[in-house]
Amino acid sequence: MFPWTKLFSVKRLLAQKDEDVLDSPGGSSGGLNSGQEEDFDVDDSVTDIEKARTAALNLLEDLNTEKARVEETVLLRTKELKEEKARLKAAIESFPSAFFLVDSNFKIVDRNSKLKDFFPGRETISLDDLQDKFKGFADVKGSCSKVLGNHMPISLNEFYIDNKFIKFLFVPVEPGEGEDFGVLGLLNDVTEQKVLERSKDEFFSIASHELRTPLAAIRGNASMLLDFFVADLPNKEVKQMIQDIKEGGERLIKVVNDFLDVSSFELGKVIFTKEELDIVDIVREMARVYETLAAKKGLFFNVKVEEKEPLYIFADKARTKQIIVNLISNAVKNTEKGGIEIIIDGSAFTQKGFRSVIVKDTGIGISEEARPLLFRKFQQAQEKLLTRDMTQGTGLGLYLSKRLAEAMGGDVVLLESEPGKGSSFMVSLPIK
Amino acid sequence: MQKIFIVEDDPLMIRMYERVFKLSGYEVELAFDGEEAIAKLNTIKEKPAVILLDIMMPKMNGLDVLKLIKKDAKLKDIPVIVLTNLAGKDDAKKGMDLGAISYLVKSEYEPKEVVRITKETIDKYTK
Repeated sequence: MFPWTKLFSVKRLLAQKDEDVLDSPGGSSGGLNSGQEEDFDVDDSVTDIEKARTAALNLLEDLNTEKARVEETVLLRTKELKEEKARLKAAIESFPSAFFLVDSNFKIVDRNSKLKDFFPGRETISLDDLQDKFKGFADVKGSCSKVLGNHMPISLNEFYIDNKFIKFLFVPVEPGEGEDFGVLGLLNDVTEQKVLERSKDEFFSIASHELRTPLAAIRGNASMLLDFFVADLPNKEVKQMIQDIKEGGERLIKVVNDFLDVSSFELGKVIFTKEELDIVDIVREMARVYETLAAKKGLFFNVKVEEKEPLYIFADKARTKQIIVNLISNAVKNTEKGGIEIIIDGSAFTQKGFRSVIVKDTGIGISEEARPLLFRKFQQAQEKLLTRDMTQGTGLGLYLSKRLAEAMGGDVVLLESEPGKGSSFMVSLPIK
Repeated sequence: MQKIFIVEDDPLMIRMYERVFKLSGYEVELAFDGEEAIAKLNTIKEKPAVILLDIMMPKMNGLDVLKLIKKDAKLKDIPVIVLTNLAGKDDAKKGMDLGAISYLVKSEYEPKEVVRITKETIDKYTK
């Protein structure tokens, strides 16, 4: 309540007002209610004004409070955004690769400092700069265009520039609301990787060459003594010794080949060139070599084809031969009486979409204990090193045969075996 | 007597192959690295019936020698057998792509088998 609140007639006020108006120049009936007498409750009006004033003050206070709250929120959010930006920047800077982000207008909108390594002394780098720099090695703009068009990542072949091996990767960036797709570009320095690969290649070349060369000399000269100088040899014993030197050389060559093959395979360096092959032709070719050896041991040796020829598989020729040779040579080596039978594609075990070759022998067989370890490297090396079923060889042949077959979409399995009675191994390879 | 041109740097291999080809009735000419091979092939009066070419050699490797042979009008028709201990599929493909007739891994073939294959090559490619 205002201090002057009193119930009084407004008439006097109005009258006073009229007098003022009549006295003023040009004034006539400009007064409020000239000559009229009105009574109204000033107290009510004042109360209403008071209420309005209070409400207004309250509203102002609320607005101030809200303003402070909003300001605080904005400050907090700004701080969070700055921190987020700083983290993102740190993450981008910590990328091992040079990084750039391209928008749909082919403009680089963000990058890390590693990109500057390719443009020393430059602060701003455009997509045109990248295009010019890598002209002839990588079509940067073309790749960005493709990625923006089909939203699929692109990886370009590595190339050698500025004493480095570089590989480009372009990845589509999902748009935010109201934004278009962008492209994330990465330049990976793969020089170390290449050096390591080259070291491995060099190791294989050198190891392969340096191991095989003296072995070729041992085996080759022993062969030549037997081929050209046998008449000069003093006696059969010397001839046998030379035979042993030759055989020792051959075995060592096989060991070296097995080890290098396994290492090569495990390092992913084996290349398979698949083609359509007639499995019957391959088996017959490989069998011819071992037929003679089997005959020398007094063993029978049969090749049986149970389906109509030719029988095609889709596999690497050299590796298919390697698997077949491994199975046949194992059979001949481990059989002293009876013989070997090779059955092509006649097994009930042959799955649809595959051709199988079964190599069956009447040899020493494989014990139950040995079977779980059969396709592992070095076979029984862990437990029964001194009393292995197979005392010759590295035990890598079956391991490698199985891995090679699997790599070509097939398999090598032991179908059955009984100690003293023999074994049956099956290799299956895909038709297509 | 037919001439065999052997390019090989390893003394063990040189002696073995020179011996087996001479015992088999061939004349043998030797070069101990790639550069010597090219120099001799360019000056030799009677061209060899076949070239047996190692790959890993000092000064110039066998694949580079093969490239030069195939570029030279006077030498490109001489059949080349790569005789090496590099057994990789990649190596073999490189040799064959450059125009070698065969790619033989020394440790896989007895010397007389190399002679047999060489004879078959000469019979096939020499008029």
